Amino acid sequence: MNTNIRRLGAFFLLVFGIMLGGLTYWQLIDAAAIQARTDNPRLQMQALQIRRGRILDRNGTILANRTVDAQGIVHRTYTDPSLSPVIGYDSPRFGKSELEKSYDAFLTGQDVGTNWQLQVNQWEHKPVVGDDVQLTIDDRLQQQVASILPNTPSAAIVADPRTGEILAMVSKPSFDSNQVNDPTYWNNLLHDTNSPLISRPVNGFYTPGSVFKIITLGAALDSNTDSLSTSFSGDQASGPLTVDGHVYPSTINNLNDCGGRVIVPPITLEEALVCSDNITFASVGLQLGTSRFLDYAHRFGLEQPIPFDIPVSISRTGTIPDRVALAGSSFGQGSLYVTPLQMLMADEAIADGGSIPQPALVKQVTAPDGSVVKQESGGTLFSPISAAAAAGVKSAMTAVVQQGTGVLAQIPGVRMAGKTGTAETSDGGLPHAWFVCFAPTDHPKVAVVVLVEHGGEGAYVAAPLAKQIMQAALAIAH
Amino acid sequence: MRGYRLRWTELALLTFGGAIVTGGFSLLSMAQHRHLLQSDLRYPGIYVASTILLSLWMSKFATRADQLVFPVIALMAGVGILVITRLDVALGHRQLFWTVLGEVALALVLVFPRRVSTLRLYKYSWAFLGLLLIAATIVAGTDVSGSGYKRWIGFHGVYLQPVELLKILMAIFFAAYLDEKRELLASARIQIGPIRVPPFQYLAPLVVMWGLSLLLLVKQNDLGSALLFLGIFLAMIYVGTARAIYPVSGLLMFVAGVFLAFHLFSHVRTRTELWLDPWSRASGTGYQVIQGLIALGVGGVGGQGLGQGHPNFVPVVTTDFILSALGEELGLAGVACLLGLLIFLVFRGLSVAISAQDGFEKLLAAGLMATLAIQTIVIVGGTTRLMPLTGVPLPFLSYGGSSVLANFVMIGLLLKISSGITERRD
Repeated sequence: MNTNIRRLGAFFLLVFGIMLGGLTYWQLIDAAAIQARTDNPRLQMQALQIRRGRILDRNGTILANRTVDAQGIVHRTYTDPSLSPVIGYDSPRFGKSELEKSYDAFLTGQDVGTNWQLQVNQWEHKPVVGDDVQLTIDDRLQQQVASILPNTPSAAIVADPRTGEILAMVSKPSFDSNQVNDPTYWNNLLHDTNSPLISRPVNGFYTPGSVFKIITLGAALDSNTDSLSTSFSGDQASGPLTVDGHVYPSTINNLNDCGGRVIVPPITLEEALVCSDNITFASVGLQLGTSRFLDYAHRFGLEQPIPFDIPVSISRTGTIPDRVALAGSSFGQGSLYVTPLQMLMADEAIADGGSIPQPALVKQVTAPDGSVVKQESGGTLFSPISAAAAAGVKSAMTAVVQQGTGVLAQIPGVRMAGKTGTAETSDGGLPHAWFVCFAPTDHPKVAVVVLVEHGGEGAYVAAPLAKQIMQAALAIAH
Repeated sequence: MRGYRLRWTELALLTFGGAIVTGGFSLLSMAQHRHLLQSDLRYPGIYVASTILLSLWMSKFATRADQLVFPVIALMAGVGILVITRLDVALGHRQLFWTVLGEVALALVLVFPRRVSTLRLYKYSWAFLGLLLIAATIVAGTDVSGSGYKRWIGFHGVYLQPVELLKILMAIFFAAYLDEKRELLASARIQIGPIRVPPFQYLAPLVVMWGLSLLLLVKQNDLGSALLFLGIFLAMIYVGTARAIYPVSGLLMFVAGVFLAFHLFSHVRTRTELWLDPWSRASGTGYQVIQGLIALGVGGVGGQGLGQGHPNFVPVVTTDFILSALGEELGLAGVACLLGLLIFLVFRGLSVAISAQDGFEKLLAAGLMATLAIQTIVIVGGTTRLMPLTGVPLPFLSYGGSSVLANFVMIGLLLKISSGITERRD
């Protein structure tokens, strides 16, 4: 019997060895893979315990904060609801968006330190502390712009044309990131016909109307097709203009009321911008030709992915199949669809001597130990036209505010350049009201774009709003 | 009965083990309260005192019993109380209560009956008593765990699982019967054509008893215990007869039986499918197994540390899945130590079996160790997916009053056998 007992013992030892092998497989060999499974509830728990980095404005004002409850769960609070379309939300239920999403790796501290530091932290069961993200936004200005814009669907961006830093970015209607985790609130946002979840400044698509003329003018000057003093007369100036059988109606009424003045053709190209004369710009577009027109549109950023701290929709030129479409596109109609950011970039190109600075929302990212992890890269994004061409457009835009369609934007004592836009839409409502501007003309510090969806005439609706925004911005510009 | 002699080796090892368990409770207290709460040390205090007292008892009533066996199970029981306290404080306190009760039972077994071999006289009575208890449970039992089957018997909050007692009674019955008939079973042969077949008819009483217990367990859907009983049955026949044909034919019949059951019973089929592929059922029937494996993976080699992981995410973690909790907080290193303690205990028990002169005691000691070893294999193998999962407690570590009591009684019998060995000493 003793031999059998020994053999039984040997058998048990063997099987225990196999058991240990099984445990080694799960605890060592496959350990990393199995604990990374999405149904590991510890991962959600750890995610909830990360001391998520704060988001600050350029002056250090806290915009998104973290609070830790008794269970060690971290909660996000946002101080300025007008920034929800910029900062986005961090909802355990509905995920993340905008900066909360694009800077998640920094905010959750996944980038910090070497691997062994993370490992030691894990052994010590220390919660991960994320990096703080400082924005280029000035929250004082942000709140003023939010109160200036009407509560109808609209958008505005204020930027520094020298650096591309965004100082304020408002989208209306907006939402409160603090409440996004509430399913009822979320559902209401999803079903709201005014689409409050769309960040209009970067993802709203609009027909540009006459603000696009600064691009057409820039193209004409840069390619030496025309100069500011090139004269247009007759049907080339006031129409009616017949292009391949299509008749663009007379604009003589516009010329009869150009900022209170009566302009009689022949008119110069500068006067055409000042009075926003569609027919002249159709003529300029026809002179440029389709390929050159498209080329300049691309140079200004249309049809191009725009690198930015939050996702930006690509502005579209649409197809320009014939001269009829080319003529329409030249004064901003046709099948053009642009974001407010796109028009701000065109505005900045004029202000900045022909180059568009890289737009930036994030100034820097700081680790918990105070070291700077990432900094705004700066630099030039596109250089669509020459400095000389930009100077030409700038002088014409200055005249727009001084004596043309943009007079309602005038600020006493400040020389400003601007352009109105009144974009006809196919849905039959009032046109979209646009205004782009920058100031001071000689050394621009602030660039502004304002859009009011179906707001009416740019000159009467958007220009006065842009004036108030510009005044607020100049008051704190450095 | 000889005089009083202190068992110094045992006392020294118990002190060492007691220090480990007390240290564990201190770590747990600090992990949970950020400082050491003195009241948290009451429970390891009670535990250490009880083990020392039992050793003193043995210095009177089991003077020459093996001195390594009790410290090993005491350490495992202490770690069990510790981890269960970490998972559920109230349950931990109950486990401590059951452990002390188990030690009392062990102490009583050492003095009554006076000789282990007395047990062989009533072998059929023991077996029938066991079966009767199970039958009574099926009729008048309670479904404590909500499994849909009555596996407990008792009242007023104290419930026992008769299957744990049946384990011991069947081991006694098998040992007694095999000791009586083993010459016959080992030597006699029946010639059928060219094949010499062992005399299976002498196995009839064994097969009947085993079959009856199996039937009752299947009625309770307690596949783990059924598997355990088969293992004990085959291991003991092998030890008793030295003929591999018994366990081999038994295993073949088992495989055939499983094949049949796979096609006849849906819950056997479900369990097999779950074993082969839990991943596609991760949020349903596979949830428990996969969460258990995730906990093991999270523990890794070094473990998260006592009170620092989240083993409570695993369902039934205090009983069937205690290994996952141990694996998450103590790591592969800790679990390997515990498995080492278990196999050490089995070897120590088997060496007692080898030293014992009486055939019944030999078989009983081997059978009791086989019970512990197979039970460990069934639950560790099930948790790590080396075999289909069938729930049995991990000896000395899982929560369960009946299991603790039965295991201490088994060790009591082993120590009693060890104490009776006069000549050979290590």
